[in-house]
Amino acid sequence: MQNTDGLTPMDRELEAALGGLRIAPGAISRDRVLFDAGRASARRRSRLWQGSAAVLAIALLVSIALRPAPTEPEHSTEAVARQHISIDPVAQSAAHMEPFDLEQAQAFRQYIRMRRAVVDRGVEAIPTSDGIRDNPAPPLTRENIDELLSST
Amino acid sequence: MTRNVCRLLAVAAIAIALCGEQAPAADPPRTPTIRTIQLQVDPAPEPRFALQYLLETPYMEQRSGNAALLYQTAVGLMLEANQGDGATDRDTLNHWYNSPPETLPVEDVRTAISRFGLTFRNLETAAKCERCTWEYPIREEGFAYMMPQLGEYRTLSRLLCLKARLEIRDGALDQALTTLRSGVSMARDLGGGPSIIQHLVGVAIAAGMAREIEGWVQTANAPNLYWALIALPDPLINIRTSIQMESAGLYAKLPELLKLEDKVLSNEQVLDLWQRAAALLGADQKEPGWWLSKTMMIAGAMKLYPRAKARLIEQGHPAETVEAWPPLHVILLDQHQQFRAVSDSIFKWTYVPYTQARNGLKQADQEMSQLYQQDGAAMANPFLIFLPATQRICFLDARLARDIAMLRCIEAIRMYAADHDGKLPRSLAEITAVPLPTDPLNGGAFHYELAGGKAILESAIPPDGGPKDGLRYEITLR
Repeated sequence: MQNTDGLTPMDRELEAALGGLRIAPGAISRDRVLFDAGRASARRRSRLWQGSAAVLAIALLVSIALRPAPTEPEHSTEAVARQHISIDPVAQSAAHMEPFDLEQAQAFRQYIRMRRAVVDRGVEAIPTSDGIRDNPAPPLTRENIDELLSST
Repeated sequence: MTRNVCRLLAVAAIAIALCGEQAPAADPPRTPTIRTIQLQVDPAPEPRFALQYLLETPYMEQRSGNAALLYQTAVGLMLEANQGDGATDRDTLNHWYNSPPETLPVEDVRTAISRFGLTFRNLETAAKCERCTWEYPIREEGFAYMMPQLGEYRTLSRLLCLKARLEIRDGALDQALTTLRSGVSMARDLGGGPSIIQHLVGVAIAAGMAREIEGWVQTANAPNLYWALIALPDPLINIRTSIQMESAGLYAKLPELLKLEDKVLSNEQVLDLWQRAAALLGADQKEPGWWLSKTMMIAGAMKLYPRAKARLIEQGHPAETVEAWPPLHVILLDQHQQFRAVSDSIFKWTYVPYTQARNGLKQADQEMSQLYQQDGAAMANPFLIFLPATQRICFLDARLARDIAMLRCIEAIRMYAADHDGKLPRSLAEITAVPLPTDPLNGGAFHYELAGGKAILESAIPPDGGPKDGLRYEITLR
C-alpha cells in the first residue's frame, strides 16, 4: 500500500535508516587546505628563485673560466709568442711534413693500451686464440708432398 | 632470601661453566683473510749431492742456439696440434689449471696433453739453449712492435703446469723436474725480453711454476729443492731490458726529442712533432677538425710559453738564447726535460730492492700526476702518457720473489725436520744448516710460529697490496 507522498514502506525504512546516520568529522580543514596551498605556491616560487640563482651562478663561473685573456702591453712574452707563431693552416701544408704511418701509430697505441690493461688486470688481458681452427689443413704426407712438388 | 641467593649463585655457576666449555679448541688464524695454503710434507734432507736437482740447465749441459726460435716454434706446434676432434678449448684448460690438484680429472687431462708431445720436446730443447735473443726490430719500432702471439705463451705454460702436476702425481719426479725446468726457463727467457708486457707474462709463468713446486714438496719422498731454488737467478725475471726499452721507446718514433738542445726546431716542426705524438696516442690526420685541433694546440701552447721560458732560464740556459728560440721550441724543450726528469725519477728505483724502493716509487708516481695537471689540462705534457705504472710492476716482481723465497724456507724446514727426528723447528732461528731468505715484499724475516702441531710460515699482507698478496703456509709433517 502506498502513502500519499509516494514512498513505499521500503522507501520509508530506507529513509529512516539514512536519517540515523551522522556526518563524520572532516579530516581536512578548509583553513588547512588554504594554508597548504599558499605554502606550496610559495615553495614553488622559492624553488624558481633558487634554480635561477643556481643557473646564474654556474653561468658566472663558466664565464669567468672562459673569459678571454686581457690585452697586455706589446712587450709581454705571450704577445711576443703570438707574433712569432703562424696559425695559418694553409701555410702548414702537408708538403712540409712527413706523412704519418697510421699503421705504426695504431700499433703504438695498441701497445700502450695493452700494457695498461696487463698491469691493471694481469696477463689474462692478453688475447689468445682458441687454438682450434675451423678448416684444419690436411696433414702433410709423402703422397701429398710429391703432389705439391709436381704441381709447381 | 638465603635460599634465593643460593639459587642465583647456582645458576651463575652453571652459566659460567657452560661458557667455559664453549671456548675455542684451537687458536684463531693470525690474519683470517690472508691467502692460506695447507701443506702436508715429509722431512727431506739435503740431497747427497747438494746440486743434484736444478731448475735450470747447467752451463756445461747447454747447447748452442737461440731459444727464442724454439719458443716461437713451440707456439706454432701447439696451435697445430690442438685442432680437430678432441681439441681442448681455453675455458676447459683454464678450469683444469685453476682446480685443486685433488679434483683434477686425471685421465681427461692426460688424454688432452698427450697430443702436445712435440711441443713439450721443443720447450725442453729451448731450456737447454745457451742464449735467448728476441731479435725484434724494437730499437727501430719502439712501442709499435709487440711480440706476436704473446697470449699463447700463457697457454703453453698452463699445459706445462698440468703436465708437471700429472707427473708429480704419478711419482715420475725426474720427468716432473724436466717439465718444471722447461717452465722456469721459459719464464726467465720470456720475462727478460724487451717489453713490460712480455716481462709480466714471464712473471705470471714463473708464479705458475712456483705453484707446481708446492705440489712437489708435498709428494712422498720428494727430494729437497732448497739448493735448486737458491741456485736460481735473483731476480729470476730480469726487468732491466724491458725498463730500458720503456724509458726510451718513444724516441723510435720521435727521435728529434733527443737533439732538442742542439737542433732548434721551427714552430712548424714542433707542431709536426706534437701531431705525431697525438697520432701515437689516438688522434690522426683523418679526423674531422684536424686543423681546428692544431689551432687549439697553438692557443694552448701560448699559455705555457712564459713558464716554460722561466724554467729553462732557471736551469741555466742563457736568457738571450731562450728569447731567440721559436716559442714552440721553448715549450717542447721544457716538456721533454720534464718528461726525462720524471722518467728517470721513476725508473731509477727499478734497480733498487722493492722494500727500499717502495716509497721512492710512490713519490715519483705522485710527482708525475702533479706534473700532468700542471699548466692546465689544455696542453698537459703529452709525453708522460708513454710511461708505465712502474710501482705496480715492481710490486708484482717482488711478490714473485716472495713466493720463491717462501718455498726456500719450506725446503729449509723439511731439511731441519729430516735432521731433527722429524720435528718442526720452534723458530726460524733454529734453522742453522742453511741460510734463510728475508721477505722481499715486506722486508725483514718471515713470520713463523708453531700452533696446534703446525708450522705457520707467513708473509703479511703488504701495505700496498690486498689480502691475496699476503701468503700463509700451514705446514704439517707426515
